[in-house]
Amino acid sequence: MLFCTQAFLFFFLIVFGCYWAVPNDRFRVVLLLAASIYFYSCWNAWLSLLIVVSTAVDYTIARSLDRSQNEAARRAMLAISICFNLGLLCYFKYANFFLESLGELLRLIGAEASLPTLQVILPIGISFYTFEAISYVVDVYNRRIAAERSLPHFLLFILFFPHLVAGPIVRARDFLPQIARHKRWNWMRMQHGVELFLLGLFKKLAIADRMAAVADPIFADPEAFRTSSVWIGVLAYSLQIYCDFSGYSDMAIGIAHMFGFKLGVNFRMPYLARNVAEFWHRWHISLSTWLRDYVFIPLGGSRGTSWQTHRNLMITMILGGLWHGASWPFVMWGVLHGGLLVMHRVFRQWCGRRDSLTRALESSAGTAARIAFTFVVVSLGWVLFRAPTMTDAWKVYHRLFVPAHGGGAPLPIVSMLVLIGVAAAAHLLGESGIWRRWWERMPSGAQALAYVSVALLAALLAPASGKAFIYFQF
Amino acid sequence: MSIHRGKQQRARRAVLLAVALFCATQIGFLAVIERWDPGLVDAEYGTRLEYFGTRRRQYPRRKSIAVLGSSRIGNGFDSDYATARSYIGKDQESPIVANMSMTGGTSVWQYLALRRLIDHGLKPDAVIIEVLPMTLVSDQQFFADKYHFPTHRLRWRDVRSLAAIMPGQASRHAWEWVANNAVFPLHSHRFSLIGLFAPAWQIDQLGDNSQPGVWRRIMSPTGWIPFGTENPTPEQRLQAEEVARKAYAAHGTASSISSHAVATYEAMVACCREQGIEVRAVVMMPESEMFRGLYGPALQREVRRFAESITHEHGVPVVDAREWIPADQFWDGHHLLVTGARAFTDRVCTETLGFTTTADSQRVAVQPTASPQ
Repeated sequence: MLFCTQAFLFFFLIVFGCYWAVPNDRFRVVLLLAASIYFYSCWNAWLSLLIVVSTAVDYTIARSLDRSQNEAARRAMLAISICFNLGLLCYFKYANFFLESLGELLRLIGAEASLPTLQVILPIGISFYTFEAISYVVDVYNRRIAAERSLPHFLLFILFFPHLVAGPIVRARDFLPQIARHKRWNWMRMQHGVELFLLGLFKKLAIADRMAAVADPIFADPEAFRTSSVWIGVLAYSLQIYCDFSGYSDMAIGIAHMFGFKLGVNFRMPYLARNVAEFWHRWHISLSTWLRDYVFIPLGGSRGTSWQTHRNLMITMILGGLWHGASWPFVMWGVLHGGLLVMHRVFRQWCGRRDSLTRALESSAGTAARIAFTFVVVSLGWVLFRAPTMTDAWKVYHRLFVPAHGGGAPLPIVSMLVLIGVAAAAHLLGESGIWRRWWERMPSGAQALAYVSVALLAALLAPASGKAFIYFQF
Repeated sequence: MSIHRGKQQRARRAVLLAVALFCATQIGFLAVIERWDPGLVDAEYGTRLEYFGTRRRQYPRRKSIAVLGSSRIGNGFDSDYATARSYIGKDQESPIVANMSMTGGTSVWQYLALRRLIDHGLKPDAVIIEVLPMTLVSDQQFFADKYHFPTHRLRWRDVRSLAAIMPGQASRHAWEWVANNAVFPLHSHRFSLIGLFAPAWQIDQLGDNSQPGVWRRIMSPTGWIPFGTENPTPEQRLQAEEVARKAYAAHGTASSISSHAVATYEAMVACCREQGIEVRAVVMMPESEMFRGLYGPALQREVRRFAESITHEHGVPVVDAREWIPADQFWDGHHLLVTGARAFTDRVCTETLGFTTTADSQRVAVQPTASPQ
């Protein structure tokens, strides 16, 4: 059940109506829990049972962790919980990747190997809720938070349907207190929720899905297109993945607001980042902060020598790449971003000793150049993200950098250029704060008209072939 | 405190007004497609209706003949040529001939096409009704409890028309129509709107029969859709025949035809009689030897019985044209190429419509009007 479908609208309206009609907190928790389980079971009823069971296991372990004073036992319980969560993740998501890679390795060294392929369905959103569960158990172990006493509350923390399948990755210390708090109807909050939902809907239907119509044929057969068309395809995919994922996040955050919950911001106009490090402060913030807190810092962070910091960055980004998917292009994407972060650190230190260069880079022209450079580098990185195999990625890169003849862009690009213009203008207005000031001064009638216009444009521009959100596969 | 209350009120006004405005636009659009422009719902029908209406307004005193059927007659009846040959005699004005077939058409869609013409005040004076013998078997599916009729191609008045021939499915169709069309009509019919107002923004191919521009490109002003290619290679023809064989072989072995499909054709004939529309003929379209070979003896017998009942019980002549055209004038054994269409139309004009074949006809014939666009 996608957020941008009629089925979801009916589902949402029923849950929303019941939720606000009954001002009983316990009922509301049970209602949201039931709705979330139903929402997940629309994909696969058996897998919804799996997530409920694994969440209950984490709940039990965390309670024991909280009660226990024996450090060795606590460490063992933490290890069991992490192994259990990562074990499920590895079985469902990575087992075939490891088996295939092992098979290839054995073949490379000349051994005859026929390793089995597991017939498993990937539980949707498994990477997201596994990370939420791990962070909760680790926080309880470190005594940063107390273990949740109420099983329904804990289940709702993991299963809350807006963030269940594609994030944002929420932290227990942010979300659990919200469950316990009594919710009152608040029109401002409702308006904010509607705003975010419509913004996400527009990004998904009017931009991401239309960009997919340009990018998909080019990535499917890059050799059939001329170099300029492949560049257009890469640009289209950059916009597609941003609008698809940030659109989903906006809708999720908007829906949560309408139920009185606040989820963390997941995107802050990442394509306006001036360098790759800043990009990761703006892109998929809930994942990048999770990786920082639970991988990078425990590895030593930037406290050690330069070499150690660079090593930690590389490990973190490779794990980040692998988190996205079980394939070598994702690993290479992680390597690329790790490498870029390392280069950025080295370059920043080098620039620190050259004032005139620093001034030039921080001027308006220098800033624009840095934003453009970061965007191009990140976009080139998306090729690895989009291509199913390294061979496919290589074909795209080859076409991008070795001029070649071939077909033009698969569809008229007028609409694409207009949408790129709209996205760029929205970014600039949003970043400068002008938009917020205009919006707050706008009469409510004009605001209503804007909402309706955005909703209608999204409804009208949606292509026939509705696409699932890209991040559902992770 | 008062600032907070003011912000709350402003937020409430904005949200409620947006909901009201959104609902108003949807209801308004629904009224537009229901009352004024059926082409927004069904682009093919809308284009044909527009062309037919234009010609009727140009020649208000002339009689009109509408051809109702599927893509077979849509390709196979060259209504341009029939129009050019439509001379009847010195004392009578030549009629307007319009191909009002529906691609993918079946008994149910033909019935709807007839009802839509009548509802729109474009009642023809006479009709030719195509019967696809094979679909006399397959049309049973439309009446099955689990079949989801493509209600997004219908207006509410079409749903009511359908209720006359499918009373058992009426409430389900009504519900599906509401769910598919009435909740977000602007979204359901977006391809038509984009096609009309911003064709540069179209990104889907033919988008579910909903892009008027496509039909305008391929359809002549009399409603004929000439087949896209005239000289298929033997490989292309073999492939196309294989597709047809796969699609219809199972139907050919059926031992009975659908009583519902028969009833629908009978309802069409009855409707015509009630409205004073002359049914010139029920036509079984040409088929190649390969295609005719798909009929089993039981189905042949049933089709013959159906034709006899139409002739004897309703007094309508049945033209069995299945053997009229040689195999090389088909694309896939049942869709005619342009030469085949011309030969078929020529014979229908002479034998069924009674058009004269004298040289005079070319001089006085009504030429198809230019496309209304």
